[in-house]
Amino acid sequence: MKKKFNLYCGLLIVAIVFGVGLHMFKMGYQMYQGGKAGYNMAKKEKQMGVDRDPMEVVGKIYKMAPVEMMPKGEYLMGFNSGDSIVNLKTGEKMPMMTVMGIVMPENGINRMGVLQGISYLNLILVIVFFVAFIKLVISVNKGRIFEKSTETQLAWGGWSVFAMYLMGWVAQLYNYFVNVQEFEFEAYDLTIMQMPDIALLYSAFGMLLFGQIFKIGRKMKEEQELTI
Amino acid sequence: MIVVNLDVMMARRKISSGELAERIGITQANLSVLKTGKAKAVRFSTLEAICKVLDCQPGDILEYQEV
Repeated sequence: MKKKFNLYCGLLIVAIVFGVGLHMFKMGYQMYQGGKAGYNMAKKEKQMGVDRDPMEVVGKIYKMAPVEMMPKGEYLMGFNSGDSIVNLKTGEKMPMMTVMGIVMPENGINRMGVLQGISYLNLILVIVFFVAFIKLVISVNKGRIFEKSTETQLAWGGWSVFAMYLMGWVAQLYNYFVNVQEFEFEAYDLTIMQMPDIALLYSAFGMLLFGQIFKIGRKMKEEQELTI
Repeated sequence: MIVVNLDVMMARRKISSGELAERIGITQANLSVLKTGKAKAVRFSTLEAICKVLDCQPGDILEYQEV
């Protein structure tokens, strides 16, 4: 019985590590690509005799603005927003509808600091969840199932996942409201396209619910033990 | 609440906790739980065994008190 429990726990951990790892790899890779592009740009400018402060390049990264948008009604069917992209396989220049992108205004609002702060907070919440989860697995393996500590660990896990979901919304809403202050486009309305994964909410409430089920089980066990 | 007056009956019958627990088939720890009022429930089989050993009625050892 515990073998299957441990197997499913292991699969869950692998899935979480894969998901978190993939996300961090993507972020790291994008930072690497951005850094490489910045370095190449600085190198080219130096060859051209342009004397630019390196921190100016770094500063530009912090002004990068993720934007999410929908084409305005009159542009949607005509695909004539003005954006286009070339298909290298056919040489065809095709009209393009952009819904997500990153723009780099010259004098933009520095939002990366806040978004990075939210990322670090999310990392702490992931660690809290993992610690609670590992403690729960150890408790179950030791036969300590219907105990108050089990409910506590499930509560910590549930609330940390719920907080991660909320942080996702905080980041999206913050970015959206800053975008609304900073940008206005002819062909697009600013919007929120990528919402935090609702599965996080299901997981959070699921864990809290299981905590209550274990609490009921504990009370029943206590009553059973105190039935003479 | 239900108050268990087992001590009184045990004193009348001059029987110790250990002997009573052994004769009714429960552990001394469980008998202590019963005597101190910490038990959540009592099985009829246990009550029957207690009444048989102490030669009494359930009402002699169980009493209802308004809290």
